[in-house]
Amino acid sequence: MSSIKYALLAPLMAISALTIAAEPVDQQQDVAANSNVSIKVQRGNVEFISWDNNSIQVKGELDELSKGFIFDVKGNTVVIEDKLPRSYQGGNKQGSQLTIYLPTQLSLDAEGVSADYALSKLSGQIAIALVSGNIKAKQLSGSSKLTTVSGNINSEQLSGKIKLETVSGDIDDKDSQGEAEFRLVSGELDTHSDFTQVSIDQVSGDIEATLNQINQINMVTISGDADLNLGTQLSKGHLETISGDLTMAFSAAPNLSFMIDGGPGGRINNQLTDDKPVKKKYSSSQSLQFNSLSGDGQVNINTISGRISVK
Amino acid sequence: MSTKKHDLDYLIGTLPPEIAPTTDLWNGIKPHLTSQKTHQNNVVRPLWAIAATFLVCSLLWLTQWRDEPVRPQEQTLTQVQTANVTPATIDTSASVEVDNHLIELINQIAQTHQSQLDGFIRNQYTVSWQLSANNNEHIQTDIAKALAELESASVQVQAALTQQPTNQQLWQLWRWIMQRQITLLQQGQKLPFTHTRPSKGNTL
Repeated sequence: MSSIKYALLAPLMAISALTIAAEPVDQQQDVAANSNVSIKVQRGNVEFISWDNNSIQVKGELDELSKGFIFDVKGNTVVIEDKLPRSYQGGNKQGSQLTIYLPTQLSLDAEGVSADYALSKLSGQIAIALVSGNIKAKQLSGSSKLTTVSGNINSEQLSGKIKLETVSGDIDDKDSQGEAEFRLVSGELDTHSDFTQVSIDQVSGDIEATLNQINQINMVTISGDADLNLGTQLSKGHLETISGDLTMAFSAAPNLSFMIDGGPGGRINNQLTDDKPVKKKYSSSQSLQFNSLSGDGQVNINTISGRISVK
Repeated sequence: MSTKKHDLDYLIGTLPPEIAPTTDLWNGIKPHLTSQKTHQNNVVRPLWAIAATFLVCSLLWLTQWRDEPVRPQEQTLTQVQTANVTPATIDTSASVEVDNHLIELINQIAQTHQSQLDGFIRNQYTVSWQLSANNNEHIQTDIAKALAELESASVQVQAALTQQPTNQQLWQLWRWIMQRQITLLQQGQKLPFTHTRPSKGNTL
């Protein structure tokens, strides 16, 4: 009796498995030049690949919980979404597996929850916002804003105006150029790029930066340590650290005037010139003002209790 | 019973992800506000003037006349120091005053921001993902962790700001952290997870 029961159940189970299997998708539509493309894929993996056609193609598999695929083109606006139920249980299972071919020049606004996004060779206004997903970006130009909460950001060969933000994830950037803004809370920042202007806001994570073409730098860190390797073209700098240590190492003697305020608990170590820090009257604070070469540029450094080293 | 449960699930499913009025209520609210405002203006204005005068007098009293009695020895020392007073020291006392006002402002902003956050957190149904400490949903824990990190970061930056209240970069960093907290709570409202009410109260 029981064997008959199993024999009857087996095909039913197979049918139910088929019904929850991921649904393939392969759609292509023509779009206007410089379209505003809005993409929403909550979980899985999404890869954006640029091509020279004025059309968008979406290939791959939809999420197993997909409630339908939206690919609407209305004039200059394109909406792509793998629609999921408004509430579901379960974390990042396989999710959507999509490859999206896009025109190189566009305005892209993509958001996701746990999906990992990879994008390359795109130009224009690009904005990606994720919660726990990772972002991998290569060869983007124009204006790029990449944001994630706990995911990591890996960027390479970006140019133009770049904004990278994460709360607890790390940012790893290399071979980029242009102007960059980095914002992190506890993640670590590692950048080796040819930016001319950089702004770094960091709370507790560490910073490791090699910026050989840097002209202007603004940095504030609370308790994280910063290790900066800078080129000699620096002309303006404003660096604040509360309790974190800061090391500024130049590839050769810079043409800068330094004003360093060591604060009540900070220490200053100058290896660029023979100038020694001066202890302030009535307090334990140290400060140091000196010129390297003719001191044309200006760098201000402040700390409360960090150790400042320039070399 | 199961049909009822199914109906309830269906009804819950039809609810919007964000709490928002179905129609634009502003048109109804605006005339009431403006009429009340014009009516109360005449009464409120003198009250404001009295309050402002009182505040200015209190500040003057605090800064000018509320010096503690100085002992004779200290008095001579103070006199010597006053004789040697330089513009720099005057600047310092002025900047200390500005710093104190800024520190008050920092505390006020922190309080206002905290009440905004409490507003979100009080509505536990919309942020139920935050309450599920035992839930294995890694995104929920990621968001909860990120919120905790942002809160700790905000406290650190606030402490740093009270030490350096004129530091513009610290202000910007603090503003970004506060904005990020609000954005994250809003994102949390939109997350597509099954909202589960805790059976034994909050586990925050």
